[in-house]
Amino acid sequence: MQTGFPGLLRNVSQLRVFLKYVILENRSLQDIMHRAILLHMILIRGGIAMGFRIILLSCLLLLASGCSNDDPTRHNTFVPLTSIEVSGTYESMAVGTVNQYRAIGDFSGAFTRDITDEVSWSIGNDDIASVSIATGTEGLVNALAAGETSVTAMQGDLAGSGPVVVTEALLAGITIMPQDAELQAGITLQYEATGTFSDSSTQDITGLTTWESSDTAVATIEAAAGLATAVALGTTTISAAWQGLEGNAELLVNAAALTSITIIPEQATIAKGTTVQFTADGESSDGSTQDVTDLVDWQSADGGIAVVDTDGLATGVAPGTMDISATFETAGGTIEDTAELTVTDAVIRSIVITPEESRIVEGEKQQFTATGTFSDRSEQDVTELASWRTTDNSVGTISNTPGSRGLFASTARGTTFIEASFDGVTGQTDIIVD
Amino acid sequence: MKRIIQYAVLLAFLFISVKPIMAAGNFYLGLHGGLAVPDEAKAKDSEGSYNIDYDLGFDGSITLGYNLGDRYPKIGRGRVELELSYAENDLDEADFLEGKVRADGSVKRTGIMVNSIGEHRMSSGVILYALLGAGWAKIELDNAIIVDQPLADDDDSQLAFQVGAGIGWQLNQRITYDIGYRYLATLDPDFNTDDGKSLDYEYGCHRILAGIRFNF
Repeated sequence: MQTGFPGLLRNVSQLRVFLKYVILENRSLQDIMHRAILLHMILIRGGIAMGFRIILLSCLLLLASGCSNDDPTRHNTFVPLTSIEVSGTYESMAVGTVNQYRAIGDFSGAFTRDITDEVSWSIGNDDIASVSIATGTEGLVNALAAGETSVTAMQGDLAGSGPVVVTEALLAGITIMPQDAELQAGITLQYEATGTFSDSSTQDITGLTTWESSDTAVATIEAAAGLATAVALGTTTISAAWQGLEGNAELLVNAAALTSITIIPEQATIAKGTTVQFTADGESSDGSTQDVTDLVDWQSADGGIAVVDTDGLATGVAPGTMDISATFETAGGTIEDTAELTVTDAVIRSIVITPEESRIVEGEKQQFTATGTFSDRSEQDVTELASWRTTDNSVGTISNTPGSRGLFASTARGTTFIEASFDGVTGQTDIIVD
Repeated sequence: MKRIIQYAVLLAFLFISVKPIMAAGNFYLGLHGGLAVPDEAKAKDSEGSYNIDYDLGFDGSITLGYNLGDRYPKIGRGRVELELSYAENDLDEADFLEGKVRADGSVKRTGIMVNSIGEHRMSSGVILYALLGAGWAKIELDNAIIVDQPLADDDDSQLAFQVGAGIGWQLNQRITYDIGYRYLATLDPDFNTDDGKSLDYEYGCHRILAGIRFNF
């Protein structure tokens, strides 16, 4: 079999012979089929010399790549919802405060899913509290007066309720975090305010307080959200006020300038469909470093291999290697760093949940971690990717809320199994509540 | 015993060398059977996409073709054939955001293809071939169920194509054994689901076939 240019010449020669055969010679009608077939064969034959191996190679590639598909994007609505569990961030709340409730649906025991924004919310006694049904704040309960009632999440004929306890506790103090922060000009910082009440309970009241900066030439702050931006060299006092009380913190804006960024980790390898969190440390001219993960602009060099969100969380899309970059604009120009991310086509084989066989006291919480072992023997934390469930909800509930997945909250004494499922693989451990 | 004798007679008939007819072009009839290994299918509706996986299934075909033989040495060897094929695979699992769940029912494919095959004969008598084909296929989603909930019971016909390669072994002038691989895919069929939605489906299937060609 000839390949390359000689093979091509041979094919051209064959075509010329064929055309002479078809056009110049007066053949019988019996040859019509032969001629048609021969034309067909020449078209193929012309490509076979070099194409035979290409076709074989293509077949092998099809075998290798054609057996998998894109990751699913759709929730499973074929498995019936069998129960809804409703719980709030806080067990009780003071008048005037808010408490985010979430609805976790149990789908026939097959899996659980946060359905907070899919259910219809109602409150038992709207003199005591109200619940938001607005898009983006579904399930947010606002305490109006002291008392006890319940909040209900409903979908179809199913409903789940959680207690709403509004106390008469009064605000005793406000604590702002962080205290004594130091920033370079142009850097932003999110402040948080925690209210301590007369019954010793605490609640996040960041969104309830009014924020101020004593010197807006040094730093400004968003009055409702608590997001501060350093402006120029100096010191200012950040304050958060609510119900006549105020908390304060000092903010120093120094003369140092951001000189470089370092992405951590420098290299990462993840399986397709899993995630890795990148962080960015900024080095300043005075030698100090600070976390600038939320301030930099994250970019993926190839969105077909991995995507990265504004917080540096990268998700593997398809096998390959590419760069993740973080850039920051300063007065002196653009500062940038890159990290290498490799996405493999490894699939998860097993999940181990830690701690194993743990024991806690009733009312306590336990954070579980799920570690997946993949087909290439690599291991990854899949806590935030897994779907969590307990086999006995009367002993406690486990969170499927992003950011706190795997957090078990005990409610009664007993033993229950904890399960974490990801991509069809499930890991299990048990916990004893005393 | 009677059946064994029948088989022996049949085998004897198959192995008898007959008058060489391969030098000239000849028609042939082919019978092939084997495994159908469909790709994991992507099913997409208004709520997003999910994947459906299958069990291994049966694939069979009957072909009527014309073999150029050695009649046109400057052109080389090759065949053109009309292929009728049927394959069936049971649904195994459906993969959603929450993970995989059980699926039941089956997907059936009935196809009619025109294949063009280029051959390369080795000195040992083994024949290597590569194949290109195009045609029409009916894809049937038969009583598909996901976790006891009906999905669809519908069919759609689409243009189809296939590529493949294989090895033939010419036992005698009458009989050629054949084993090969083909990948057949269609344009996306569209099904109506039991709840009245439209389901955009993908179909591609790896075919591993073995069979025999009778030259006449």
